[in-house]
Amino acid sequence: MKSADTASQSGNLMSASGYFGPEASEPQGELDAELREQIDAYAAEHPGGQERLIPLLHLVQARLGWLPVEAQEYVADTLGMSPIQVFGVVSFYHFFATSPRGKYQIKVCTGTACFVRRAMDLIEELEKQLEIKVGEVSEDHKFGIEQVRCIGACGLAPAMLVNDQVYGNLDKKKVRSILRKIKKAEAAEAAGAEEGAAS
Amino acid sequence: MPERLVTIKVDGKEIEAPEGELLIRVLRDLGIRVPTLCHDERLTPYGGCRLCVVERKDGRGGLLPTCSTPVLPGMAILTDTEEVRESRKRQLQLLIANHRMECPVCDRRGDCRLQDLVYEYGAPEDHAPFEMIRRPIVDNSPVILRDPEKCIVCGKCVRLCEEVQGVAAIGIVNRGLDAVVATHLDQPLDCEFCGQCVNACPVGALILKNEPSFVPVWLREERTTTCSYCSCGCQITTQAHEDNVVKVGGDETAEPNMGKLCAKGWLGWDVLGNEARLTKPLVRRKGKLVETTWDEALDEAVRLIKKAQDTAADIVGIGSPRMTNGDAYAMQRLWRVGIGSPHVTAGPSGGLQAMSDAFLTEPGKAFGTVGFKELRDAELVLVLRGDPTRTHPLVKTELVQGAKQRGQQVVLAHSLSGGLEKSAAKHFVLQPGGEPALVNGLSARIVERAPAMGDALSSREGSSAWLDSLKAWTLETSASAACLETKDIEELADMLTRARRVVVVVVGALGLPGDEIETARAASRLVELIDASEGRSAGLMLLGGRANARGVIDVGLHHAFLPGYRPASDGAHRADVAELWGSVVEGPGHSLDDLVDLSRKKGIGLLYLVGQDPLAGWPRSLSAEEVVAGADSIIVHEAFLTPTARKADVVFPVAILAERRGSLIGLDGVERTLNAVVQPPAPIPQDGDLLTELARRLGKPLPSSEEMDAELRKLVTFGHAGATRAVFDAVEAPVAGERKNGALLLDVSPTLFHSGTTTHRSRNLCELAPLVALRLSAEDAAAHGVRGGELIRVSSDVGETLLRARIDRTVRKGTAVAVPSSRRDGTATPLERAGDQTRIQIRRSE
Repeated sequence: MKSADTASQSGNLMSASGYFGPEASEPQGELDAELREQIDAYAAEHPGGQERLIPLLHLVQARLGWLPVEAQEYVADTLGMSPIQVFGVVSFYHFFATSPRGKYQIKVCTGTACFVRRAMDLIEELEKQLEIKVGEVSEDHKFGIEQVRCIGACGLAPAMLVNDQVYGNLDKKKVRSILRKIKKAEAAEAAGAEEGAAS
Repeated sequence: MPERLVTIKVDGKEIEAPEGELLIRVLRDLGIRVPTLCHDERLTPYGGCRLCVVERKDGRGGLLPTCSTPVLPGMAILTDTEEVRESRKRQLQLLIANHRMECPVCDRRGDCRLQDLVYEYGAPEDHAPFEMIRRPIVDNSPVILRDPEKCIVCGKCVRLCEEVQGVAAIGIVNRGLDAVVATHLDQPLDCEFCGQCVNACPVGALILKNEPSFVPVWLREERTTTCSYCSCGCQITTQAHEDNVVKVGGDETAEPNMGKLCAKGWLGWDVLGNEARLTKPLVRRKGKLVETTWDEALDEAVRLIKKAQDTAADIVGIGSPRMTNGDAYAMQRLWRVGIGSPHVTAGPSGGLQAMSDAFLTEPGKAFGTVGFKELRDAELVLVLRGDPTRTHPLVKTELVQGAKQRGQQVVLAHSLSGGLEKSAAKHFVLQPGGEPALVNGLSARIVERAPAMGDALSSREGSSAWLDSLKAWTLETSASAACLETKDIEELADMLTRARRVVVVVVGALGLPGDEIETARAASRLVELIDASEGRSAGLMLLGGRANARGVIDVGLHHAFLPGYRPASDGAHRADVAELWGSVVEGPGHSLDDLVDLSRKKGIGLLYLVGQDPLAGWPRSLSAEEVVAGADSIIVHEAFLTPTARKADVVFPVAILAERRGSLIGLDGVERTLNAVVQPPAPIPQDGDLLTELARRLGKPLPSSEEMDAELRKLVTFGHAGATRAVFDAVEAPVAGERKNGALLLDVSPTLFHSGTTTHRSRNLCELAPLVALRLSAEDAAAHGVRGGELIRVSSDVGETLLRARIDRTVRKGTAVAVPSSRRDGTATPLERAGDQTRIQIRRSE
C-alpha cells in the first residue's frame, strides 16, 4: 500500500543533481494527451487568470481520481503559475488527493451527526476488513478509505459514500455486507473480462 | 486620482484621512506604534498575523486588522486598550507555542521582530494546548538555510518571491499547524537568489549560510552606500564586523530600491576579500612583472607618459563606466589639460553609444530622461532589446510589482530570455536586432490612425522628413520587417494608443544583439510622438550597462564630449570650458572603434587603462588583441591581475566597488553617494587619488577634489529630465526580415549572476552560476538528447568548444545562454562572430 504523501511526491522526481531545478528533462511524463487537451480546452474557453486553478484541479481529479505531480505541473504551466503555488492550493483543500484513490473510494462521514451515531465504528470495521488505514489505498488499488466532513446526509447518520453512492443508517454488519457485494461484483467483472479475453 | 479626505476618530481625536487609505498607514503617520509581523509596505495587504488589530468603536465593535482595513468615513477606533493588548499577547503566545525558542543562541538574537514583541507584550503565563511540531532544518540549497521550527508562517518570503520578484520559487503548503514554507517537491531552491526572503524574514527562519552567527547584531557596524554592480542605484546597507562585510541588506523605506536587492548586490561582496586582490604596484623589469613601491611605480608611469609625449605618439586613456563622477572627471581633465591628449574615453558599455549618438542633449546638462516615478506611474511599459531581470534587476522588480500589484501592462519585445515573461502581459519574440523595425512600424501605425499626433510634432526639426518616410511602413511591410504577424503589430499599436502614460525602456548591455543606436533613435521618436499628443505622456528610459554609464559621459569621459555634452570639436564650447581649466586640447579624440586602425597604422604610444580589461571584456568587434599588441606601453588600474594587466608595464592596484567614495548617476539620472563602507585589503588608493598624484608628479597638478567638484557642477546640471530629446530624420524603408529557425541563438549578454569579470571572482556568485556552462531550455535540451550536467560540443561557424549543459527554465526555447566575458580567459573558445548574432549547433559529447 502507498501512503498518501509519498506516492505522488516521489514518483516522478527528476534527478535533482544541480541547484537549478530539474537537470534531467524527462518529457512531461505520464499525463495523457486527452487530459492535456481537456485542460487546454478549458483554459481556452475560460480566458482569465489564476482564478481558473480550482476548476481545473477539479477537472483533473474528476478524470484521474487524484492529482499527479505531472498534472499539477501542467496546470501550473497553463495558468502561468509556479508548481509550488498549485501544490499550496492542492495541499490546503482536503478534497484534493495527491495519491491514487481506490477504484471504490469510501468516504466515511464524521460530521457531528454521524460522529455521535458511531461513525468511528464504521471506520474501525472498514480498516479491519480491508486491512488498510484511513488515507490509504489497498495494494490492488480497489479500495481506499477517507474520513470526510459532513456530506449533508445527517438524516441517514451514520453515513458513507462509495464513490458517488450514498449508504445510510449504517452499522458494522451493514458495512461488511456492502463490502461483500462490491467484492462479488468485482469478481464477476474479472471473470467476465477473462472470458472476453479468452473468446 | 484625487483623494477624498474624510473624518475619522482615533483614540477620541478627530482626524482627516484619505478615504480608502490603509488604516495602518494613517496610524503610523500619526506616530502611533502598530506592531506587525506579516505586513510589508512593498506587498499587497495580507492580514495574517493579527497583531495590528485595534478596537472599533463606531457601533460595529470588534477588532480590526489595520494593515488590511481601508479608511471609511465615520470610523472610530481605539488603538491602545486592554482588549487590544490582550489580543496581541494571545496571538504572540500562539506563535511562540510553535516556535523553537532558542533566542540566546539564535542567529537573529537582538534583531528579531518576534523577540521584540514578546518583550513588549510579555511572555505567556500558560502553555498552549499543543506541543511544538518538530521539523528538521532544510539545508539543500546554496546560500540559504530554512529552519521551519522558527518559521511563524507570516508568508512574507512567499509573497515577496511572487509579487516583487515574480519568481514564486516557494509557497506555503498544507494548513493549520502543518503549514510550512516549501519548494516544489522539496527540491533545492531554483530562484534568482535576490535575498528578499532572507532580508524580510522577521525571525530566524531564513538564514544566509555564510553569515557568521557568532557576531550578534550589536557588534555590527551598519553603513549605507550605493551598489555599484549596475546602474540601478540601489541603496545597500552593509553590516560589517572588524572591517569584514558579514551581511548586506537594504532599507525598506529608502528610494530607489525600497530594500530590494539582487544576487550581485546581496552576495557579490566577497569579491572584495578575494585573496587574489592586488595590493602592491607591479612594474615590468626584464620582461617580468614584479612588485615594487608606489614611488617607483608612479615614477615609471611618469617616465612612460613623458616618453610617449616626446615621440609625439598618442596617449590613449580609457576609463571604466564604473568610475565615480569625480574620478572620471579628474581623468578626462588630466588628459585634456595636463597630458594634452584628446584621446580619453570610457570603455565599452551598453547604452554609451546610444547616449552619445542617438539623442540630442542640451550642452551644459546631463543626459536627462525619465526616472523610477514615471516608470511606476506608466500604464504601459514597452521593454526593448533585453530582459532587465538579467541586467537591471531593480527595474525588473518594479515591472513585476507594476504588473502584479497595479495592473500595469508590461510588454516585452526582444529576442532573448530572462524571467520577466511570466509577469508580462505580452512577449513579442523578435529576430535578433528586430527592435527598430518593430518600433518604426508602431510609429507608422499611430500616425496612420491619428494624423493629428504627427502634426503635433511639426515644430521639431526633421519631423516632416521622418513622417514622410514612415509612409513606406505599411502594416504589411512593417510586420514583414519585424518578422511578426500583422495582428501582433496591430495589437501592440492598439495598446499604445489606449494607454495614457507610456514608458519605453531600452535595455543597454554588452552582448545584446542588434544596434542600440538605431533602437534608441526609433524608441525616442515613438516616445515623443505619443508625448506630443494632448492628454498623454510618454517617456524613455535608457538603461546603461554599468554602474556609472550615464555619469561618465555627463562629466566628459568621452572622446567627443567635454563635460555636459559639449562637443569637443566646437571651439566656442572649448573656450567656455577653458575659462575654468586654463586650456583644453582640441577634440574629438580617438573613439574605441578607431583604435584598431590606429594600432595598425601609427601605433599607440601609451594605452592607459582604468578598470578596463580589453582582452577579457571587450566585444570582438573592437579587436582588443590587436589594440593591446599595438601599444608601445600599457599602464592599468586593476584590482586583479587580469589578462590585460599581465601584458602591462605598470599595474596599479585600486579600490573597487564599495571601497570607493564619490558619486554615481543612476539610470534614472539621480546622483547617489558612494560612502567607502569597506576598507580595501591593504592601503590602496582609488582611481582619482592615483590620477591626482600622477598629475602632481607630471608637474601638471589637478585642483583639489573639492575644487574639481565645484568646477564640475558649474559645467554640468544634473537631474534635468527633458534635457535629452529625439533626433528626427527620415528612416530607411522597411526591408523584409527572415525568421531564422533551426540552430540556436547564442546569447552572451549579461546573466543575472554574472555581469563582467568582477563577478567571476565572487565565490558566492560562482556557486550560484558556474562560468563554463551553456544554459538551455528543457525543450531544446530534450530535442538534442542532452541532459543537465552533460558535456556538450558547441559549434558555430567560428569555432567549437566543450561546455557543460544546464537546464534553465528562464531560457527561452531557441536560445542558449553562455556567461559573458568568460570567453577570452581560457575558459571557453570564441564562438561569436564580431558584431553579429551567432547561431550555434549543439550535440552531446561522446
